[in-house]
Amino acid sequence: MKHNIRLRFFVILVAVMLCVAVAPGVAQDASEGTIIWGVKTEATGIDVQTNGQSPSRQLFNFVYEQLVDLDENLNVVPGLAESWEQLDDTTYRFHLRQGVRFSNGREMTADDVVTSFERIIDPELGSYILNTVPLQSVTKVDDYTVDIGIASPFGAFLSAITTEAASIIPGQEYLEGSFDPTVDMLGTGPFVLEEHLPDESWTFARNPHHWREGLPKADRVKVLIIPEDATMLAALRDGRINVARLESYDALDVLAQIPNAEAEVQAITHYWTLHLNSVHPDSPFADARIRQAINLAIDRQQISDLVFAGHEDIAVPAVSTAEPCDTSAMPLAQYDPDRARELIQEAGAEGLTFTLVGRGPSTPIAEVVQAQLAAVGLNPQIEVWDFAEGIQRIYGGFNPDEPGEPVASFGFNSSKSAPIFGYQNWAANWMTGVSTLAADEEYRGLVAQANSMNSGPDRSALFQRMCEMVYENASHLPILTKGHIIAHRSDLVTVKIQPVEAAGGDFLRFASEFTVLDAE
Amino acid sequence: MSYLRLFRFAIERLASALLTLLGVSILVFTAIHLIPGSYEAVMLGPQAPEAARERLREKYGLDDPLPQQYMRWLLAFLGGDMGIALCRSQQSIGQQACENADQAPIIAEFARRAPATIQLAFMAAGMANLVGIPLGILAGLSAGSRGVRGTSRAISALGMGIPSFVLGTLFVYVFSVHDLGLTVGGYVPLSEDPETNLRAMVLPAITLSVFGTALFARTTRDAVLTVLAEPYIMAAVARGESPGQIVRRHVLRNAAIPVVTVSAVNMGYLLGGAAIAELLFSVPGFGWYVLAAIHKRDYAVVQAGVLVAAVAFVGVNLLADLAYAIIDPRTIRRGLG
Repeated sequence: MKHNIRLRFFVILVAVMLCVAVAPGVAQDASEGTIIWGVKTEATGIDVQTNGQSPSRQLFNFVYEQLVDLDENLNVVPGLAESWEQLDDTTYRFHLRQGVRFSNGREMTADDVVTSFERIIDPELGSYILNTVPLQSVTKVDDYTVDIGIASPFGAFLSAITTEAASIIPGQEYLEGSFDPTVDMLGTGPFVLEEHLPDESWTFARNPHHWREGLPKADRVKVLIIPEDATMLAALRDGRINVARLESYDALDVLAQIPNAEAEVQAITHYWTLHLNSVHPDSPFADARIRQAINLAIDRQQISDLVFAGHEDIAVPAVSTAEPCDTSAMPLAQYDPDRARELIQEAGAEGLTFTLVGRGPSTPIAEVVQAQLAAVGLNPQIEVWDFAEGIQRIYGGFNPDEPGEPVASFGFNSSKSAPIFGYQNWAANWMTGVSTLAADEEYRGLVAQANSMNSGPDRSALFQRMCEMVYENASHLPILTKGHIIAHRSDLVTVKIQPVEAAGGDFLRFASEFTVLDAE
Repeated sequence: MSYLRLFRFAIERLASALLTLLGVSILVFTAIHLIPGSYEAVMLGPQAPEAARERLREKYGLDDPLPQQYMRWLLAFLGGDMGIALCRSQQSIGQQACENADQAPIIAEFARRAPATIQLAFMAAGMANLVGIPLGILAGLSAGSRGVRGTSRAISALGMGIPSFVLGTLFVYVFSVHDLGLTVGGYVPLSEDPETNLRAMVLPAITLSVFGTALFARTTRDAVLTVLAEPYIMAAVARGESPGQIVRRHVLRNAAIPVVTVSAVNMGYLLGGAAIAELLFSVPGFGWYVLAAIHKRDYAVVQAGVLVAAVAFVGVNLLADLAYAIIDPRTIRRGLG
């Protein structure tokens, strides 16, 4: 009898669990007026002026703004400054918008701009913007006018300061010590940070003092961190999130099956690159012929077909996506496996074994490249390194005396919104432990020369020469552009997503214009 | 006498556990610092100048010799301070006192995440116990039946052979494409919404329970078979005890020790944070947090996290040791030599 009672209890327990399990799914309602956005990766920090990592940058636009902004076509337009003028080759004057308030209610003035720029000009801070633009001085003219000086003429200066690092922080609170940008967020942007649960979520609430009329349209943005694409898709289907950024192009097929899910592939000016360490004395890539052979052996179209489902927005970048060079007359820039084999034979490198490092989403690309290089007689072995490991082992001590390890590794390059940025990264200081081109005097001289020029045939000619040098040196190879897959539930939200964006963190730049459809 | 023995037994086990934890802390501290990559690299990226990296290392004492860093951490830990992790949003790694009111001590973050991990561990362990042990008993008692034996072996082999990340990935795919009632992700605390919570937790719990189920089934079956061959079973049969009495009084009690052992190991493993399942199903638990900290080289979180997992593991095993003493007092004598 006792047995029967136990058995019945067990059966009832199982039945209850099954009932719970198979009952119809109930979508969790989105909070009223809340954009719920799924992202894959947690931010690594929130100091807007120093953190250049995409997971962090994608949050900054909710809270911070810059003097100038980019419009839908990536043209520079007024931001916190309503106008500007160039006083001479190295000085720009900005007239600030009046009545702009930080989210604590205090009005932004020239003092805040001065403090913000003084902070990023300080080399001790280590702001990445100094790798791009030679900021030198900032001077208050009056409460609403500021002069910014640069060390040498820089044609893309305005584009350069649209980056998040040039955000305006509340200078008074920073100097008083009541605001520390490394542990809190306080800006003039459409939202204010309300809550952060590490590795779980960020919640931003409407900034009641935001100066743009009628914005933001939503009351809140909640950012949920969901590392797996499939889990993200499930959340989108259930309505637990209404906007998602996905990594894998395979997700497009699944999205097509989710009712009311709409997907867009947003092109960005970033692109994948392959570093071949030409600096390390023991590197197999010290021989330029091997580097060139690798470039010739890589079939970009096949990578696009296999990894990116042949999506039309995926393209082969010609160094700068903003102003591509003409590679049609450059034999070293073509796909030519036969010539690759010849070069490998000339270098006596048949069967050469080396490490091919994939990092995160670049791993599928590494797998295709591995097969392509094997087809021309090389023997790459794939290893996957995480971000922290990759930085140390690939870049070494960021100088030629402490080179990175003698490996091939995938990375990114960005053209941002101005062509010169694409070329600058080939000569970046932090690349000098990887690429001999980064320390090449001629190339650096051409970058400096192009920096000071505005667009035109003379600058295009310089770009063409730099482009040739990139393919001749072949330490740092352009592979393919990439896109952001952005999906949303059209029955829950309306969105504004540009077909192209300039930087890694910008793809939801217009989130303040998103509308929650069931919000009252 | 028996209480004194039990007390001595418990003290010896406790001392051994503390020594184990100290060893674990040294091992983890060394290992996390040996992994290539650094906190400042994650925080600042490759573009930062060396001066900025140096400033960050200095700020958090990362340029001090490792033994000095370890001692500082150990002393703080013994004083109840696990260090500081994300300071509201900024990743921090210092062992120093938190100066900012918004900063969140690691211990608070662990406490916030513990319910999810504990619930997941208990659900997975419960499923494994509820299915695995009866299956093992049945298989052991029906050793003569080829059908039962074959089924039991097949379930054991399948359960132990499928890695949890494969099974979890399969679940994630199937349940994200088809609406089958259970959700992939969408965790809310049990106290907030039990139904939604269970919908989100069943799949990760099943994922984690499959290995345990197979392990319990196999261990229980072997233990039952071993006990059935003991002379006292023959004696019980000779005394005319019914099969039910023999199973309850002799077989289950004597077969319990190896089952308790594997239960303890399994529970300790689950309480330590089943990171893969938490990650796959977006369960904001302890394991996911520590795994993310490894990628960020957030040393203090990793050290504290692994130590807490080790405490859970050692603690559960300590309880198992004490349970042996209660189930079979002879283990005290053996344990004390």
